[in-house]
Amino acid sequence: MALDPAIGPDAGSGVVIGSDQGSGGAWEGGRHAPAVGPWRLAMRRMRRNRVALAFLGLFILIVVVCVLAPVYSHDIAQIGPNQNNITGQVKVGGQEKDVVAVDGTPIGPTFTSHYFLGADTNGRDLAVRLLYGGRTSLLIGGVATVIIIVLGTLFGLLSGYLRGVADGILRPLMELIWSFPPVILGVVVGTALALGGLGPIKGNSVFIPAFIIGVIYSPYLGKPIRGEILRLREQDFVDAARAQGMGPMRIMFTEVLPNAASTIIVFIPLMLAQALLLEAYLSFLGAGVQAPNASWGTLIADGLNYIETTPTFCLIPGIMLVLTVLSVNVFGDGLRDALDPRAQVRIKT
Amino acid sequence: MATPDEPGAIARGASAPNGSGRGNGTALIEAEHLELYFPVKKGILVDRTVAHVHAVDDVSLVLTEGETLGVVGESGCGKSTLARCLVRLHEPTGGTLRFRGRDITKLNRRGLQPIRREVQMVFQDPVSSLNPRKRVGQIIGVPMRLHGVDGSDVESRVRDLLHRVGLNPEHINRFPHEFSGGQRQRIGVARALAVNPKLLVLDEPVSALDVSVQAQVINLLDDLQDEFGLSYMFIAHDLSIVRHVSDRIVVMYLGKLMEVSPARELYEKPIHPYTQALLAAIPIPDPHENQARARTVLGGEPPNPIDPPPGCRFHTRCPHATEICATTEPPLAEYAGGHLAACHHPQSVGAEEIASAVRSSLSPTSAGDAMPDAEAARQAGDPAPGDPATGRGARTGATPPSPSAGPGSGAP
Amino acid sequence: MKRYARTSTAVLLAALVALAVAACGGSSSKSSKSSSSGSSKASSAGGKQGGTIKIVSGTPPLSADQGLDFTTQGNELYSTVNLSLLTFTRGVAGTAGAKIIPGLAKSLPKVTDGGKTYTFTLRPGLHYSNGVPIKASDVPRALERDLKIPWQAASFISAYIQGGMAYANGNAKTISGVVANDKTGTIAVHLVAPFAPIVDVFALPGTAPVPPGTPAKNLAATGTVGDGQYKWGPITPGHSYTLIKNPKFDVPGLPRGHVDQFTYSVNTNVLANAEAVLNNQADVFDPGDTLPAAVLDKVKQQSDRYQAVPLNTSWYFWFATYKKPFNNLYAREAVLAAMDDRALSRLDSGFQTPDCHLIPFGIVGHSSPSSCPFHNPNGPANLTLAKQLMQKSGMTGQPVVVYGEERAPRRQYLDYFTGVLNSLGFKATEKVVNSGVYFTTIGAPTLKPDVGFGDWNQDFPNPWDFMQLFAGDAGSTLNYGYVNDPHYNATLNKLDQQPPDKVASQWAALDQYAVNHAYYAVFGHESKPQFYSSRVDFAASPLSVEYFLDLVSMRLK
Repeated sequence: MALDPAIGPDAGSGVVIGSDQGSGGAWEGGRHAPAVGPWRLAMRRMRRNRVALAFLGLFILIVVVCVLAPVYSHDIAQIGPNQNNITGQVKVGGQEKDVVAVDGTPIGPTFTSHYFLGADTNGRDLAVRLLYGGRTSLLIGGVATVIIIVLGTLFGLLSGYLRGVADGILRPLMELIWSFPPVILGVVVGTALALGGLGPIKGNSVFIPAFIIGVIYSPYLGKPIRGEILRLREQDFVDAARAQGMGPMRIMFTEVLPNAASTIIVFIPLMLAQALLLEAYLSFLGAGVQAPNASWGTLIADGLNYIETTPTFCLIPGIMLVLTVLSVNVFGDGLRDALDPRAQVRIKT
Repeated sequence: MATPDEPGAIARGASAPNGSGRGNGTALIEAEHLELYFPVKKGILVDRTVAHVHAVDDVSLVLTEGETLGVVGESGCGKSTLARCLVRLHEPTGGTLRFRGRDITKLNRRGLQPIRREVQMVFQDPVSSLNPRKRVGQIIGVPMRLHGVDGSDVESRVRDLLHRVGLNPEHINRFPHEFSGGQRQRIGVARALAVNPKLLVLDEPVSALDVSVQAQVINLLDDLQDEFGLSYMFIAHDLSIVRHVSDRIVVMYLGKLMEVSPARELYEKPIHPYTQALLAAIPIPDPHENQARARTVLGGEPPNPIDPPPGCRFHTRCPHATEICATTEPPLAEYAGGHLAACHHPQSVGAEEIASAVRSSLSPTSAGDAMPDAEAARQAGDPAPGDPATGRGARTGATPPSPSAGPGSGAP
Repeated sequence: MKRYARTSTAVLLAALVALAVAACGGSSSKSSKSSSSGSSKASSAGGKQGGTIKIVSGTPPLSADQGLDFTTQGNELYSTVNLSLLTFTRGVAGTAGAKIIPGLAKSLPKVTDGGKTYTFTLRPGLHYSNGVPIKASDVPRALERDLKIPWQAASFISAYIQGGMAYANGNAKTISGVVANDKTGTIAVHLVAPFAPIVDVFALPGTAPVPPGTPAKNLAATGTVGDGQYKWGPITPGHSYTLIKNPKFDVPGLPRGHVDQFTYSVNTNVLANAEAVLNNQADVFDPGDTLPAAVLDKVKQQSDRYQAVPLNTSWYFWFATYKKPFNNLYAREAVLAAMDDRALSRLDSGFQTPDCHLIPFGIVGHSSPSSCPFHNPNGPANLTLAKQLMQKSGMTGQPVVVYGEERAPRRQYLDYFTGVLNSLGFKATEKVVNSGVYFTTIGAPTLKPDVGFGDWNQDFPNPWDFMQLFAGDAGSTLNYGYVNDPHYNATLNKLDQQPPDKVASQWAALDQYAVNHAYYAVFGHESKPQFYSSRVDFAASPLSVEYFLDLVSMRLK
């Protein structure tokens, strides 16, 4: 066959910019930096995105402050998050004032160590409850996100790769959950489970709303992952693995899943933001965090009663929620830009 | 690589194959009446099968040890599907597949494992065939581990393979995106070679590459064939590539075999009108000569494989078609020199040759018994053996050239 | 029997208040007087006649059919449509204002047979709003219909009237204990045992006669054809209800109503309802709803059209007295000592009047809060005593689950009460239940809850109505803590044979006995908001302890 031997092997010196390389990966890899993997490239792009990093910092700050809630409660406010003090008094500007007035009106923000943000109807310190509530909200959001990622990935992977019976069962199941408005479904299930609990988990456990949110949102990850898997399973490298005799489970988890990983990672902050919001909805409607525990959602609901007299009661937990969701979302955007090769263009220009 | 000097004796039948050129005559893989219909499903809640795509329709062929079998045909003719059937990436819906005489049609994944080791595949798209999340070392090493190569040996063997395929062994830790297309295809070849296979199924291995790089890869394949004693099934959508590499060539159209021939003879004496048309589509480097030649240009699109035409699959586009073509499927007629063609109106052969042709045992079961009519050919005039490269010998003008029908569309 | 009332507590409470009003009139001799005075007042009063009043409510009645519904919301409406043999005085404010007076009957019933037979005589010449004459036999038909549908308070009929249970179970074709004579217009009711509150039952709209041909099924979309001051206009069940004045109404001595038409609109957003009334876009805020704290300040400034009216309600926590830790008397007493009623009142925006007794102020048998044994209801909790009692009980560290309702201020009560238990040394956790299913949930025989919240509005103004909540031997389904004290049960069964005024002190003694044994932790009696638009004649349209909104008395300026 002897074809045009003049050109010789194209192996050449090492780095070649091929016309088929859509991303600048090879270029960025550089001559002196062998084996720059896709993850490292993403990290580099992430580091350049100052805005996203700033919001990541804000999010971490919120988390740290909420985690330190017991310190504030014990050393500064000197009252527990669920400790009633209806007939008690507090000194504000040298005057003793009722924490809860005789007509039931709680004290507004004092901006002192006691009742910094005021009290609720039961005479509980709102600042303490705000921090504990944040802890609860973040815990639920985090656990729910883990559940979403695990369930959604399994749904998508099994349904998309195995197709057939697995798809026949999982896809309608996902569609079924997906077709309900999340808040309504959450309220119904939340109300039911709050009473009876779920197996060994008691009804007032924060893991109940976490579980509900996780299940409700899992199709929101499962469906796009399924689509991604459907696309990936048609790639030749999957056929190559099959042709080598690799089993379906091994192909799913070692060949296909790593390629869907960036999609999954991009979804993590988005899902966390959604989970935080849904937790707030459910708790606001009484189907999430159960009394006497607080979350930002229950605090907003409690504060709503005083929206005309003391709007800070519901504004402050609302602002905390907004800041948290915003920081997660902005960071999530940055993460997507970093992991999605198309986004590179946008950042550079 | 040397092109075979004389056409070997062609296979007399599936059970007694005889390769040509380098082939030593032992059948490596045999397909008997192989069939793959893809179901077409419809339905809102429950999928119903409403039709089938006849991707591979009753194909019988033999690949002997050491030979290179070229497979050509237009896109969608089923050649890639056929290749994937042979490595059992698709499950055939009918027919039998044998490897070294053993029926492997129904083997499960575990049972296929030893055969996987001997039959490997190289894919068309060097981008999608390499897992972008894995390093080269992993990509080439995984099949070794799967087939029981000891872990500590893997790396040295991978380096060795990289060297063999012309890559720098130091690049073992790189990711696919750090390589050019040609380099990636070399990685794909190295992966296929990792388990010391006997047969490589090459699914259009160079069609995604630049022309200059194509030559390098083909030369590499040629070298490796000699070095490892490999058999190749080489799939391409045009005849210009396969002509250089193949010992025998199979021409497919709409899931059926049209012509099977030793490589040189196919180019010198194309019997099937479809083969003639394919040959006529090969561009000639000299633009004047290219424009000057008269050529058979196929009109229209290939028919829908869901509802293939009755009789000869090609009759809807064939310039020589007659009534019989629309009603009776032609059997594969075996001409001298191991040259098989499924056509009622064979070209480039004389009446005597037609008269002496016999029905091949590779014929589809649905084919009729009607052999080509030697008398008719005699009356129509004894066509001289044609030179397909210039289109002489092919009837011209049966179909007006369509502006989009090929590279020579500007020709009168 | 009021167990049904509990299904939607608030509603029922309201109904009970309405009944209480009626029941207040229960003493026979006084009632005729008060009725005549009430009616003369109503008819003689000046002010505007006619017009339309729009009521906004956060909770719909279960049904417009008095044969099914026993909610305060429903009772406000169909008590003007379905007049019974007896009824309650209208147009009189306050807890003392509701007395039982004759309605369709000529007079209060004649009691014979040692208190087991009550005989009513129908006034002659009465008609339904569609012109059909009312006959004595319509009354047993209505009672049978109540049992078939069944009425939420059907046990008043099935448990106390002879043959009622047999009919309810399908073992009889009629209620054998009710004998009507169309010629003489008499209806004789034979009881299983002497039971004085039966007169209150025959003042409930659910026992009002219905015309022949009324189907024995829930007529939620039309209501029944009645005999009262108003008749049903268009109804959209669960959303809006219309009442139109019945021009044919003419029962001597009873008021005829002033307003031409009432529309009753349901909007679950109570805050929006309150603001609509505040802005004069609607006329009446349904007193069954709680005024949201968000508008309370503004509403309170409207002194010419708002006031909090004490009605006959009791709010309490109950204990499971048959199991650890509250089978221990000291443990229960410790809880009573540790409760701060002032705090509980503040939780309800000051709408609670602190007290430890189950029988509220407006009902005979009420005792003064000063006799509360473990702490002064109007002072701080007695924490010293509580800690001592707790130590004596040895129940420190015992886990308890506290049940409560979601609706404000009930969840706040739950939070508070759980805090009290925890401060005493119990390991208390909360369980908040949706208000719509709270009482059916805690009443389920399988649940066996430890301790929880309860509230009760009177069905009718009879102390029995409250004290029966903790009746053990009858197996009351409202007795969520399964209190079963033989002395309590025996006393209750003895006292319910007498008209309450005659044994008032004994009722008070029974209440005190139960408080001393800490069978319940009552912490107050709730007031309801009387809140109208400036179009409504505030002084002439008082809240009724029996009916809540007294539509018949209500009028525009």
